[in-house]
Amino acid sequence: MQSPSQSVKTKDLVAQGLWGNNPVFRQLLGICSTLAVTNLLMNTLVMGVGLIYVTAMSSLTVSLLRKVIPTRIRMMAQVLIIAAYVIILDLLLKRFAPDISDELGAYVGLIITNCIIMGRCEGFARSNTPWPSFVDGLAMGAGYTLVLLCIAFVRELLGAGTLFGVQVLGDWWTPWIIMVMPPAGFFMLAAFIWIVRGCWPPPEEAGAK
Amino acid sequence: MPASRKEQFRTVASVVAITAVFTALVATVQAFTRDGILANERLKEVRGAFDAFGIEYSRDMTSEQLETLAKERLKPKAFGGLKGFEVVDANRKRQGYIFPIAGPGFWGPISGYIALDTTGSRIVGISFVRHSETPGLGARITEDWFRRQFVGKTTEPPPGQARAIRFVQEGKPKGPNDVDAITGATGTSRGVEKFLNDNLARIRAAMTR
Repeated sequence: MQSPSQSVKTKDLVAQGLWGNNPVFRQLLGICSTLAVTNLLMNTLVMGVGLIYVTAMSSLTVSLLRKVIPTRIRMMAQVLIIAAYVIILDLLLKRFAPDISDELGAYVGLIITNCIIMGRCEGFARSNTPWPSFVDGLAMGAGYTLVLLCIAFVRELLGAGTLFGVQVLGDWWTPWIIMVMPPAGFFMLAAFIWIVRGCWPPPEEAGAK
Repeated sequence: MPASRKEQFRTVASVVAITAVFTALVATVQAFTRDGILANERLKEVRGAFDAFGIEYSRDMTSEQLETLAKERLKPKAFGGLKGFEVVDANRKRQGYIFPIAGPGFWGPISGYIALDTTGSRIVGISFVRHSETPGLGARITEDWFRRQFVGKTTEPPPGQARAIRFVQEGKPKGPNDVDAITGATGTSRGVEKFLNDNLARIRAAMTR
């Protein structure tokens, strides 16, 4: 049964993951995949859901095993656990959603290298109880997904004239091909972080002004 | 501080145990999904061959229905060492040919099918089934606009040209056997141009023997 202090904590964890301690624009983690998959909204969505699943399950597992895994090999164990869940995700996609699996291609395997997952396992799950760790994993994954969807919205709209594959801008629009290429990922992400941190500075920065 | 014998043993034992557990988990999922994944792969190949020629099928068809259709319409035929298919209609009349094509793309191997008319001198269609190209860039080879370009092209190089099909920059004036490359996907375009022409040369040589 959850005590009142625990349920407040759940709300806090969600708020932190989605906004206050957002893994992408506050912690600056998971940047590589942000650059790679945000050229199409559908790919971003599937990648995001996959990451939410892996982060939540890995955090939960690491938390459950935190007293069992010796400290000196904890990172090896974390990577092993993360890799296992990612491979399972890959197999399930290939079996039940082969078209989406084809769309994402190598990016699913690259989830293993996403710093957010290791970051949460090492920074939260190994020193917290299972339920908060699971929620933290879900929230951080969701925060990442939301940021990526915002960036992908702009990149796909301007780079291909479509949203989720549906043609939105008519023939009058000449697609900005650069939006679909990696450089656009760089400056779109930078612009996004700049705007968000400018309009909503984190408490330390606001206090310093 | 060096670890004691007992700590060392515990560390090694933990690694072995964790590895065993999670490897077993992945192996179990793999065992359950293996047949389904192989079936999906086979279906992709069959659909790819149909797409190349333009044989109509419904996305809702079951694998049995697709296999039956494949047995009716595609007759395996070997031209010397080259294996292909004769396409026949409901009355067993020859409509054309389908050959598998493959070669290196930018990130990895690309494979698909090319469909020719009954004389073997004109392309009826093309499909790309397996590739690891960048989504939104090289992966656009699977899009309709790209594949449609090859319809009607000859398999013989036009007079004065070394290669049968030439890839030119989008927007540039095109000769009778030229197609648009994909802007922003130079590596993929060059790879496809090379292996497509190599495959066509081999097919021509095998069919005229």
